[in-house]
Amino acid sequence: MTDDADHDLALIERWRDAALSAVELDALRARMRDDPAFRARFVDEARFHGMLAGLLGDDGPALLTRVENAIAGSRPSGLHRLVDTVERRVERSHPRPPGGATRAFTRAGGRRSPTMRRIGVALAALVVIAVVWTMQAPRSATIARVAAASAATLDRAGVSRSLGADEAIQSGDVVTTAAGSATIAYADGTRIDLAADSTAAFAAGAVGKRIRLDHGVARASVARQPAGAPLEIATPHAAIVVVGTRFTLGVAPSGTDLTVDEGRVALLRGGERREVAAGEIARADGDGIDAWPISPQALARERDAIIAAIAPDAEDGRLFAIPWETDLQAARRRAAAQDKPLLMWAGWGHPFGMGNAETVTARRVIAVDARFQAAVAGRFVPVVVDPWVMIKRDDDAGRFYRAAIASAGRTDTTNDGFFVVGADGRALASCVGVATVEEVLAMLGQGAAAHAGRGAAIPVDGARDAALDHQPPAGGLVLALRARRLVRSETGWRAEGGIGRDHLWLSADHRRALVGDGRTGTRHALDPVVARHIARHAVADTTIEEWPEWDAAAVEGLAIDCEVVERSATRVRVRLSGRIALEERARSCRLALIGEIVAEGGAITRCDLLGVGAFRDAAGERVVGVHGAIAAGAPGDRVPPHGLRDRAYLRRE
Amino acid sequence: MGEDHDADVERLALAWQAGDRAAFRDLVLATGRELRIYVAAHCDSGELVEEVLQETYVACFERIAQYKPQGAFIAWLKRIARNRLVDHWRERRRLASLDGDEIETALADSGLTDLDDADERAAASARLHRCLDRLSPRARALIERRHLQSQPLADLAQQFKQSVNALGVVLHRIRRTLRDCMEKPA
Repeated sequence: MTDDADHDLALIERWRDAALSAVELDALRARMRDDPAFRARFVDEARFHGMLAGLLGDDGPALLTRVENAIAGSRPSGLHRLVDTVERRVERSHPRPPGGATRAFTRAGGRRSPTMRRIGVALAALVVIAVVWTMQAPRSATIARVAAASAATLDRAGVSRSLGADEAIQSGDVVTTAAGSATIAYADGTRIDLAADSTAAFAAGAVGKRIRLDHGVARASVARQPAGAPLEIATPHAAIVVVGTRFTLGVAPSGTDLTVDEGRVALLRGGERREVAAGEIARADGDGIDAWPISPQALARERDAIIAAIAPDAEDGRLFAIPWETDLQAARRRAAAQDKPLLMWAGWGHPFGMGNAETVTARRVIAVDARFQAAVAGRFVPVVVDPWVMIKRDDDAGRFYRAAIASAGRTDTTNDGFFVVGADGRALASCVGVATVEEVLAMLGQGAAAHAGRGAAIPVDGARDAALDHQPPAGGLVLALRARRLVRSETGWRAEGGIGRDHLWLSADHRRALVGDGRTGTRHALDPVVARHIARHAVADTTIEEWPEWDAAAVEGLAIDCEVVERSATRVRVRLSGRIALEERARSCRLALIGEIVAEGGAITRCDLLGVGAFRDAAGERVVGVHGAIAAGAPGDRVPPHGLRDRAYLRRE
Repeated sequence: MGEDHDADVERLALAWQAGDRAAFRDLVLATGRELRIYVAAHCDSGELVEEVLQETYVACFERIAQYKPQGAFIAWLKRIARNRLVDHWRERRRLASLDGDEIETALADSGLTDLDDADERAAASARLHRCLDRLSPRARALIERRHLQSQPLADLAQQFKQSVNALGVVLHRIRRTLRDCMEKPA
């Protein structure tokens, strides 16, 4: 085959897997419209697939069983066909992101069209009708048995009584667990464990097993179901279709939560359909379906490997090998005292914070280069500054900075780069924008040579612009955040690209809320103010100069639980676990979050947050991990959070 | 299928029409393969094939009184199936036009057009059915997982310990072999 033919075939295969992104799907539709040869090939491949798949099916007892079930149930075939048609269309027309662990993520790939929404509503109604019908199916023989029951009741034909062990379950039976529990076992090995405060109805559907979970939690271990006869569970918000797997379904008034432990489960709501794979979670509620590429439980299991992938690699050590000053005025005093020029590294967003593309490149390529470090050592007083702050500062530092870059010929705000500045405040050499190491080295040599014999240093004024001279909150916490793009492979987790950096400041009130006052073994929801602060200011892909602040309205879903693992007079240990859903017009994020806070003697000695999830924006979708830990006092840790550009940081939630 | 088989089918149809419920089971088993070959020729997914087969037999069950014994029970079944397929593809095309979906439109157009070449496609489907029996167990397993069970390529690559690209090439070669085999006269 030619390369084009290979590409076309791969495209068709990915379409069949419903793995095309929105952009790819649009491109495919355009080709179908504009390229008759491709259209013919596509149709031919799709029809050949259909023929193959159809011929591979069973034409013996399995077919007979399905036909007999359909006849026994008199399932409205036209309804079934329409539901099936719409499901198939929705599955293929709704783009999913590529790649194993990330494939289940989010509806952000494109809002459904009005037509698809109409179809979705129709499908939702049809699913409800189908479920209601199914539950009203005539009673017949035993469909399952009670493997275990404790303080549970059985409702059959309007009569309620205690549920006994080994009791037969018939179509239409409703099992309710109040303070107790129940396990329902099917002959094929499928087991449904109902936790306390759950209600489920069981039925033999026209094709396959049918359960309706009205509320509560069901943990299911489903044996491989016959082809074309999956287990279906309906909830007030969604339906799931299972071929064979282990999962947990939680139903609350606000929505249905699905956690898949093994295999794959299809979650349907309206016209939306999500395949949820092992280790993933999904939620269906009034807004549709959201899916996360990893569950908090799976994240907890793989925590160490993920942190190892995110944790600062050699870049951190090399980056801080140079004794960078982070305060321009302090650097000027040092330069004057030592009669050395300043080496000013200006990076938009801050060289040690959430820098822009030029800054991140300079950090990864220039600042860690051994030749650069050798050239700086002993010859310059190095200082890092954020132009966004410096061009606004109404104080001596701001004026010094602006005069220096103006003397280098930079009068606009695009002044990311390296500047050698003399004690008199004039730039002696500069290298702005993306540059090679060699160019920067040449600039350093030029600047050092020009420094000899320069004028006297300008006196340093200690006054500071309070509006832009941010200090961490008294009694609070500073977390150093690191973000990496992650890839999960057979051999585990690995990071790609550079490290995204930022900081999270927590106030004294935040700190107290994290520690809480619950007793050992209790669980409670994290204070929503703290949860929203973390969600809005700590969750972003800062590896690509992603704007890290999310608008308050972007918080679509937030559920973070605290479990008090230990509380004594001297020590408190709290574990966090939950999920975050953020969505704005141009980007979205679904993140599972875990964390641990330890307080000893009234001081927080450990505060670890780990989030892993999927981001989607114009650049596409990727899996990103964010790790936060108490700042250890590295030079970069004095850099204020990028979120402080929003003046309401720590004040508005 | 031979004349004896056709005669057997006709006898079963008459028995069922006379109220012998057991005959219906035998009739499904006796005609399932031929009807599957016919239906598979006109679908684009395994699920659709199963749905049409099921609906055809249910309709057949409900309307057996309308069957006029003339030694063409399987042809009667195929007409019911064809009507189901026409309904299905028309609905797909209607929904596709509502949504402006070129992919669905193309598939639906193809589905409706091919119903006019039913005999030719059914013959090709029958040849493909025989060709499938000639596949090696490994190739058959791969094709079943990909096309019958609709397992994603990435999952299959893990199961067969191959890269996705390599597995895609293997699948393509198997399909190419099947197509070559299908195009040869029986």
